[in-house]
Amino acid sequence: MDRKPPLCTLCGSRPSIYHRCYSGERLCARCITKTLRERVERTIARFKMFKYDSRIAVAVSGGKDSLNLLHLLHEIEEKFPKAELIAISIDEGIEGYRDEALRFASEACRRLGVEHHITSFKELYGFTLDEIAERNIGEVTTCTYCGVLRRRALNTAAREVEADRLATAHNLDDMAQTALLNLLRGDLKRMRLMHPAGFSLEGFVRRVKPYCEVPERESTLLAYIRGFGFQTKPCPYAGEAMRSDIRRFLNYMETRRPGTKFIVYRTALRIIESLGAVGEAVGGVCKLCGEPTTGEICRVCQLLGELEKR
Amino acid sequence: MIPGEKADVATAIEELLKTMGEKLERELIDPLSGTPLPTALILLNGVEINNLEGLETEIIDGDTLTLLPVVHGG
Repeated sequence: MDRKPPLCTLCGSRPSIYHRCYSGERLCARCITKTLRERVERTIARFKMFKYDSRIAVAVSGGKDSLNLLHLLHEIEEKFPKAELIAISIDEGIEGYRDEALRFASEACRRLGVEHHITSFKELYGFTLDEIAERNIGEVTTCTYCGVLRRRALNTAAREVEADRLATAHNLDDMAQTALLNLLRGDLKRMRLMHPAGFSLEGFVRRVKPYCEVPERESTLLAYIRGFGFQTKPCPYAGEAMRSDIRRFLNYMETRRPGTKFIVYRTALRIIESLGAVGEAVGGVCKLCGEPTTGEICRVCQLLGELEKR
Repeated sequence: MIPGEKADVATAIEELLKTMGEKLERELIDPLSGTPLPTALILLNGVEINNLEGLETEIIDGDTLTLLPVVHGG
Protein backbone atom coordinates (compact mmCIF):
# COMPACT_ATOMS: atom_id res chain seq x y z
CA MET A 1 0.00 0.00 0.00
CA ASP A 2 1.14 3.50 -0.82
CA ARG A 3 2.36 5.42 2.20
CA LYS A 4 3.61 8.37 0.17
CA PRO A 5 0.99 11.10 -0.36
CA PRO A 6 0.75 12.71 -3.81
CA LEU A 7 1.99 16.28 -4.31
CA CYS A 8 -0.37 19.16 -3.53
CA THR A 9 -2.76 19.85 -6.42
CA LEU A 10 -2.39 23.61 -5.97
CA CYS A 11 1.29 24.35 -5.37
CA GLY A 12 2.58 21.16 -6.95
CA SER A 13 5.64 21.21 -4.74
CA ARG A 14 4.75 20.06 -1.23
CA PRO A 15 3.31 16.66 -0.28
CA SER A 16 -0.45 16.77 0.31
CA ILE A 17 -1.91 15.94 3.71
CA TYR A 18 -5.64 16.08 2.94
CA HIS A 19 -8.03 14.90 0.26
CA ARG A 20 -10.82 17.44 -0.21
CA CYS A 21 -13.44 15.04 -1.56
CA TYR A 22 -15.97 17.63 -2.79
CA SER A 23 -13.44 19.32 -5.07
CA GLY A 24 -11.08 16.42 -5.76
CA GLU A 25 -8.08 18.48 -4.60
CA ARG A 26 -5.24 17.03 -2.57
CA LEU A 27 -3.75 19.78 -0.48
CA CYS A 28 -0.66 20.49 1.60
CA ALA A 29 -0.98 22.17 5.00
CA ARG A 30 -0.05 25.59 3.62
CA CYS A 31 -2.54 25.45 0.75
CA ILE A 32 -5.37 24.27 3.06
CA THR A 33 -4.78 27.34 5.24
CA LYS A 34 -4.47 29.61 2.20
CA THR A 35 -7.65 28.33 0.48
CA LEU A 36 -9.70 28.58 3.68
CA ARG A 37 -8.49 32.14 4.32
CA GLU A 38 -9.33 33.09 0.74
CA ARG A 39 -12.75 31.50 1.10
CA VAL A 40 -13.46 33.58 4.21
CA GLU A 41 -12.26 36.71 2.37
CA ARG A 42 -14.54 35.93 -0.57
CA THR A 43 -17.51 35.41 1.76
CA ILE A 44 -16.83 38.77 3.42
CA ALA A 45 -16.60 40.51 0.03
CA ARG A 46 -19.59 38.74 -1.53
CA PHE A 47 -21.95 39.72 1.28
CA LYS A 48 -20.27 43.11 1.92
CA MET A 49 -19.95 42.10 5.57
CA PHE A 50 -17.54 44.80 6.73
CA LYS A 51 -16.66 48.38 5.95
CA TYR A 52 -13.00 49.33 5.56
CA ASP A 53 -13.11 50.92 9.01
CA SER A 54 -15.44 48.52 10.81
CA ARG A 55 -15.01 47.87 14.50
CA ILE A 56 -15.60 44.13 14.49
CA ALA A 57 -16.54 42.18 17.59
CA VAL A 58 -15.67 38.50 17.11
CA ALA A 59 -17.60 36.04 19.25
CA VAL A 60 -14.93 33.70 20.63
CA SER A 61 -16.05 30.67 22.62
CA GLY A 62 -12.68 28.94 22.76
CA GLY A 63 -13.64 26.12 20.39
CA LYS A 64 -11.87 25.42 17.11
CA ASP A 65 -14.21 27.41 14.85
CA SER A 66 -14.11 30.70 16.72
CA LEU A 67 -10.36 30.50 17.37
CA ASN A 68 -9.72 29.81 13.68
CA LEU A 69 -11.98 32.70 12.69
CA LEU A 70 -10.21 35.03 15.12
CA HIS A 71 -6.82 34.09 13.63
CA LEU A 72 -8.05 34.43 10.04
CA LEU A 73 -9.72 37.80 10.66
CA HIS A 74 -6.58 38.98 12.42
CA GLU A 75 -4.57 38.13 9.28
CA ILE A 76 -7.13 39.63 6.89
CA GLU A 77 -7.44 42.78 9.03
CA GLU A 78 -3.74 43.55 8.46
CA LYS A 79 -4.71 44.70 4.96
CA PHE A 80 -7.24 47.12 6.46
CA PRO A 81 -5.38 49.40 8.89
CA LYS A 82 -8.53 51.32 9.83
CA ALA A 83 -10.49 48.21 10.82
CA GLU A 84 -10.41 47.01 14.43
CA LEU A 85 -10.91 43.62 15.99
CA ILE A 86 -12.19 42.95 19.53
CA ALA A 87 -12.88 39.48 20.90
CA ILE A 88 -15.93 38.92 23.06
CA SER A 89 -16.69 35.79 25.05
CA ILE A 90 -19.79 34.82 26.96
CA ASP A 91 -19.38 32.89 30.18
CA GLU A 92 -22.67 31.02 30.45
CA GLY A 93 -21.58 29.48 33.74
CA ILE A 94 -21.15 25.81 32.82
CA GLU A 95 -18.78 24.37 35.36
CA GLY A 96 -15.93 22.28 33.99
CA TYR A 97 -16.77 23.26 30.41
CA ARG A 98 -16.87 26.97 29.66
CA ASP A 99 -14.10 27.81 32.13
CA GLU A 100 -11.71 25.58 30.15
CA ALA A 101 -12.79 27.12 26.84
CA LEU A 102 -12.36 30.65 28.15
CA ARG A 103 -8.74 29.89 28.99
CA PHE A 104 -8.13 28.91 25.35
CA ALA A 105 -9.88 32.10 24.21
CA SER A 106 -7.83 34.32 26.54
CA GLU A 107 -4.56 32.66 25.54
CA ALA A 108 -5.28 33.20 21.84
CA CYS A 109 -6.20 36.87 22.37
CA ARG A 110 -3.07 37.50 24.39
CA ARG A 111 -0.90 35.86 21.72
CA LEU A 112 -2.49 37.90 18.93
CA GLY A 113 -2.65 41.11 20.93
CA VAL A 114 -6.44 41.36 20.52
CA GLU A 115 -8.55 43.07 23.17
CA HIS A 116 -10.75 40.52 24.97
CA HIS A 117 -14.04 41.16 26.79
CA ILE A 118 -15.85 38.54 28.85
CA THR A 119 -19.49 38.93 29.87
CA SER A 120 -21.33 36.40 32.00
CA PHE A 121 -24.94 35.19 32.26
CA LYS A 122 -24.67 35.70 36.01
CA GLU A 123 -23.85 39.42 35.57
CA LEU A 124 -26.50 39.98 32.91
CA TYR A 125 -29.36 37.79 34.09
CA GLY A 126 -28.58 36.83 37.68
CA PHE A 127 -28.33 33.11 36.88
CA THR A 128 -25.59 30.85 35.56
CA LEU A 129 -26.67 28.26 32.99
CA ASP A 130 -26.09 25.54 35.60
CA GLU A 131 -28.56 27.33 37.90
CA ILE A 132 -31.02 27.73 35.03
CA ALA A 133 -30.75 24.00 34.24
CA GLU A 134 -31.47 23.20 37.87
CA ARG A 135 -34.57 25.41 37.97
CA ASN A 136 -35.75 24.56 34.49
CA ILE A 137 -38.43 21.91 34.69
CA GLY A 138 -40.59 23.26 31.90
CA GLU A 139 -40.86 22.23 28.28
CA VAL A 140 -38.14 24.56 27.10
CA THR A 141 -34.75 22.87 26.87
CA THR A 142 -31.61 24.20 28.52
CA CYS A 143 -30.15 24.59 25.00
CA THR A 144 -32.98 26.95 24.09
CA TYR A 145 -32.34 29.06 27.19
CA CYS A 146 -28.63 29.10 26.40
CA GLY A 147 -29.14 30.00 22.73
CA VAL A 148 -31.57 32.85 23.39
CA LEU A 149 -29.61 34.29 26.32
CA ARG A 150 -26.26 33.98 24.55
CA ARG A 151 -27.55 35.75 21.44
CA ARG A 152 -28.73 38.65 23.61
CA ALA A 153 -25.49 38.64 25.64
CA LEU A 154 -23.40 38.81 22.47
CA ASN A 155 -25.41 41.75 21.20
CA THR A 156 -25.14 43.56 24.54
CA ALA A 157 -21.38 42.94 24.69
CA ALA A 158 -20.87 44.03 21.07
CA ARG A 159 -22.84 47.23 21.73
CA GLU A 160 -20.81 47.90 24.87
CA VAL A 161 -17.52 47.74 22.99
CA GLU A 162 -19.09 50.01 20.34
CA ALA A 163 -18.70 47.49 17.56
CA ASP A 164 -20.62 48.00 14.33
CA ARG A 165 -20.39 44.31 13.33
CA LEU A 166 -20.61 41.08 15.28
CA ALA A 167 -18.87 38.16 13.58
CA THR A 168 -19.77 34.63 14.64
CA ALA A 169 -17.99 31.44 13.58
CA HIS A 170 -20.92 29.39 12.30
CA ASN A 171 -19.41 26.85 9.90
CA LEU A 172 -20.80 25.16 6.80
CA ASP A 173 -22.11 22.23 8.84
CA ASP A 174 -24.01 24.59 11.16
CA MET A 175 -25.52 26.39 8.17
CA ALA A 176 -26.58 23.20 6.35
CA GLN A 177 -28.05 21.80 9.57
CA THR A 178 -29.98 25.00 10.30
CA ALA A 179 -31.29 25.09 6.73
CA LEU A 180 -32.64 21.53 6.92
CA LEU A 181 -33.92 22.03 10.46
CA ASN A 182 -35.97 25.05 9.44
CA LEU A 183 -37.16 23.32 6.29
CA LEU A 184 -38.33 20.27 8.26
CA ARG A 185 -40.06 22.53 10.77
CA GLY A 186 -41.56 24.60 7.98
CA ASP A 187 -40.12 27.73 9.59
CA LEU A 188 -39.32 30.13 6.77
CA LYS A 189 -39.02 33.09 9.13
CA ARG A 190 -36.16 31.43 10.99
CA MET A 191 -34.64 30.33 7.70
CA ARG A 192 -34.45 33.97 6.63
CA LEU A 193 -32.60 34.86 9.81
CA MET A 194 -29.77 32.42 9.09
CA HIS A 195 -28.51 34.48 6.15
CA PRO A 196 -24.74 35.04 6.58
CA ALA A 197 -25.01 38.76 5.74
CA GLY A 198 -27.22 39.36 8.79
CA PHE A 199 -29.68 42.23 8.88
CA SER A 200 -29.88 45.74 10.22
CA LEU A 201 -32.29 46.60 12.99
CA GLU A 202 -32.18 49.46 15.45
CA GLY A 203 -30.47 48.28 18.64
CA PHE A 204 -28.93 45.22 17.02
CA VAL A 205 -25.28 45.09 16.06
CA ARG A 206 -25.31 43.54 12.58
CA ARG A 207 -24.37 39.87 12.90
CA VAL A 208 -22.33 38.34 10.08
CA LYS A 209 -21.03 34.83 9.48
CA PRO A 210 -17.75 35.03 7.52
CA TYR A 211 -16.86 31.41 8.38
CA CYS A 212 -20.07 29.93 6.93
CA GLU A 213 -18.42 28.14 4.00
CA VAL A 214 -15.76 26.34 6.03
CA PRO A 215 -16.69 22.67 6.60
CA GLU A 216 -16.41 21.52 10.22
CA ARG A 217 -13.94 18.79 9.28
CA GLU A 218 -11.57 21.26 7.64
CA SER A 219 -11.98 23.58 10.61
CA THR A 220 -10.70 20.83 12.89
CA LEU A 221 -7.82 20.18 10.50
CA LEU A 222 -6.95 23.90 10.37
CA ALA A 223 -6.80 24.10 14.18
CA TYR A 224 -4.55 21.03 14.16
CA ILE A 225 -2.26 22.54 11.49
CA ARG A 226 -1.97 25.80 13.41
CA GLY A 227 -1.22 23.86 16.57
CA PHE A 228 -3.03 26.04 19.08
CA GLY A 229 -5.00 24.62 21.98
CA PHE A 230 -8.77 24.49 21.60
CA GLN A 231 -11.61 22.88 23.46
CA THR A 232 -12.42 19.33 22.39
CA LYS A 233 -14.94 18.54 25.12
CA PRO A 234 -18.57 18.64 24.00
CA CYS A 235 -20.98 20.77 26.04
CA PRO A 236 -22.61 18.74 28.86
CA TYR A 237 -26.02 20.10 27.83
CA ALA A 238 -25.46 19.40 24.10
CA GLY A 239 -28.01 17.39 22.27
CA GLU A 240 -30.81 19.24 20.59
CA ALA A 241 -32.30 15.95 19.39
CA MET A 242 -33.49 17.05 15.96
CA ARG A 243 -30.25 18.84 15.11
CA SER A 244 -28.22 15.78 16.12
CA ASP A 245 -30.31 13.59 13.78
CA ILE A 246 -29.83 16.07 10.94
CA ARG A 247 -26.12 16.29 11.64
CA ARG A 248 -25.77 12.51 11.38
CA PHE A 249 -27.85 12.44 8.20
CA LEU A 250 -25.82 15.22 6.55
CA ASN A 251 -22.53 13.54 7.50
CA TYR A 252 -23.78 10.29 6.02
CA MET A 253 -24.87 11.99 2.79
CA GLU A 254 -21.62 13.94 2.56
CA THR A 255 -19.66 10.67 2.62
CA ARG A 256 -21.87 9.20 -0.08
CA ARG A 257 -22.16 12.36 -2.14
CA PRO A 258 -19.38 14.82 -1.39
CA GLY A 259 -20.62 18.40 -1.69
CA THR A 260 -24.04 17.72 -0.17
CA LYS A 261 -23.57 20.28 2.64
CA PHE A 262 -22.64 23.02 0.15
CA ILE A 263 -25.69 22.21 -1.96
CA VAL A 264 -28.04 22.33 1.05
CA TYR A 265 -26.53 25.63 2.26
CA ARG A 266 -26.54 27.29 -1.18
CA THR A 267 -30.06 26.14 -1.91
CA ALA A 268 -31.19 27.64 1.40
CA LEU A 269 -29.58 30.95 0.41
CA ARG A 270 -31.44 30.87 -2.91
CA ILE A 271 -34.71 30.22 -1.11
CA ILE A 272 -34.05 33.08 1.33
CA GLU A 273 -33.04 35.44 -1.48
CA SER A 274 -36.11 34.54 -3.52
CA LEU A 275 -38.27 35.43 -0.52
CA GLY A 276 -36.86 38.95 -0.91
CA ALA A 277 -36.14 41.55 1.75
CA VAL A 278 -32.76 40.11 2.73
CA GLY A 279 -31.04 42.45 5.14
CA GLU A 280 -34.27 43.94 6.38
CA ALA A 281 -36.14 43.28 9.56
CA VAL A 282 -39.06 45.00 11.15
CA GLY A 283 -39.65 45.22 14.84
CA GLY A 284 -40.26 47.31 17.87
CA VAL A 285 -38.91 47.25 21.39
CA CYS A 286 -39.74 44.95 24.30
CA LYS A 287 -42.22 46.47 26.77
CA LEU A 288 -40.24 45.11 29.70
CA CYS A 289 -36.56 45.60 28.88
CA GLY A 290 -36.57 47.95 25.89
CA GLU A 291 -34.43 45.63 23.78
CA PRO A 292 -35.37 45.18 20.10
CA THR A 293 -37.91 42.47 19.40
CA THR A 294 -40.49 41.53 16.80
CA GLY A 295 -43.25 40.90 19.37
CA GLU A 296 -44.42 42.84 22.44
CA ILE A 297 -42.28 41.02 24.98
CA CYS A 298 -38.93 39.68 23.89
CA ARG A 299 -37.97 36.03 24.17
CA VAL A 300 -35.36 36.76 26.83
CA CYS A 301 -37.92 38.38 29.14
CA GLN A 302 -40.38 35.53 28.47
CA LEU A 303 -37.81 32.89 29.41
CA LEU A 304 -36.49 34.77 32.45
CA GLY A 305 -40.09 35.28 33.57
CA GLU A 306 -40.62 31.52 33.49
CA LEU A 307 -37.57 31.05 35.75
CA GLU A 308 -38.72 33.68 38.27
CA LYS A 309 -41.96 31.73 38.75
CA ARG A 310 -40.04 28.73 40.03
CA MET B 1 0.97 -6.04 17.37
CA ILE B 2 3.58 -8.62 16.61
CA PRO B 3 6.94 -7.12 15.69
CA GLY B 4 7.95 -7.89 12.14
CA GLU B 5 4.38 -8.60 11.05
CA LYS B 6 2.75 -6.35 8.45
CA ALA B 7 0.08 -4.06 9.85
CA ASP B 8 -2.21 -1.32 8.62
CA VAL B 9 -4.09 1.59 10.20
CA ALA B 10 -7.11 -0.68 10.78
CA THR B 11 -4.96 -3.08 12.81
CA ALA B 12 -3.63 -0.24 14.95
CA ILE B 13 -7.15 1.06 15.55
CA GLU B 14 -8.41 -2.43 16.42
CA GLU B 15 -5.64 -2.67 18.99
CA LEU B 16 -6.55 0.75 20.37
CA LEU B 17 -10.21 -0.20 20.58
CA LYS B 18 -9.30 -3.25 22.67
CA THR B 19 -7.98 -0.96 25.35
CA MET B 20 -10.16 2.11 24.76
CA GLY B 21 -13.39 0.20 24.21
CA GLU B 22 -16.67 0.79 22.43
CA LYS B 23 -16.94 4.49 23.10
CA LEU B 24 -13.95 5.22 20.89
CA GLU B 25 -15.26 2.86 18.21
CA ARG B 26 -18.53 4.78 18.06
CA GLU B 27 -16.54 7.98 17.59
CA LEU B 28 -14.35 6.56 14.86
CA ILE B 29 -16.00 3.92 12.69
CA ASP B 30 -19.30 3.79 10.80
CA PRO B 31 -20.96 0.53 11.93
CA LEU B 32 -22.70 0.10 8.57
CA SER B 33 -19.80 0.54 6.20
CA GLY B 34 -16.84 -0.14 8.52
CA THR B 35 -15.16 3.01 7.19
CA PRO B 36 -13.98 5.98 9.30
CA LEU B 37 -16.77 8.36 10.24
CA PRO B 38 -16.72 11.92 8.91
CA THR B 39 -16.83 13.02 12.54
CA ALA B 40 -13.26 11.87 13.10
CA LEU B 41 -9.98 12.83 11.47
CA ILE B 42 -7.38 10.07 11.46
CA LEU B 43 -3.87 11.17 10.55
CA LEU B 44 -0.79 9.04 9.96
CA ASN B 45 2.35 11.09 10.51
CA GLY B 46 0.28 14.23 9.94
CA VAL B 47 -1.38 12.98 6.72
CA GLU B 48 -5.12 12.32 6.75
CA ILE B 49 -5.59 8.62 5.94
CA ASN B 50 -8.13 9.18 3.15
CA ASN B 51 -5.29 10.95 1.36
CA LEU B 52 -3.35 7.67 1.56
CA GLU B 53 -5.01 4.26 1.37
CA GLY B 54 -7.56 4.79 4.13
CA LEU B 55 -7.69 2.14 6.84
CA GLU B 56 -5.56 -0.13 4.67
CA THR B 57 -2.54 2.18 4.76
CA GLU B 58 0.46 0.23 5.96
CA ILE B 59 2.02 1.31 9.22
CA ILE B 60 5.56 0.73 10.41
CA ASP B 61 7.40 1.01 13.68
CA GLY B 62 7.77 4.62 14.82
CA ASP B 63 4.70 5.94 12.96
CA THR B 64 2.47 8.45 14.76
CA LEU B 65 -1.29 8.00 14.54
CA THR B 66 -3.36 11.07 15.49
CA LEU B 67 -7.09 10.82 16.19
CA LEU B 68 -8.94 14.14 16.13
CA PRO B 69 -12.60 14.28 17.10
CA VAL B 70 -14.61 16.69 14.98
CA VAL B 71 -16.50 18.01 17.98
CA HIS B 72 -19.53 20.15 17.40
CA GLY B 73 -19.40 23.65 18.81
CA GLY B 74 -16.75 26.26 18.96
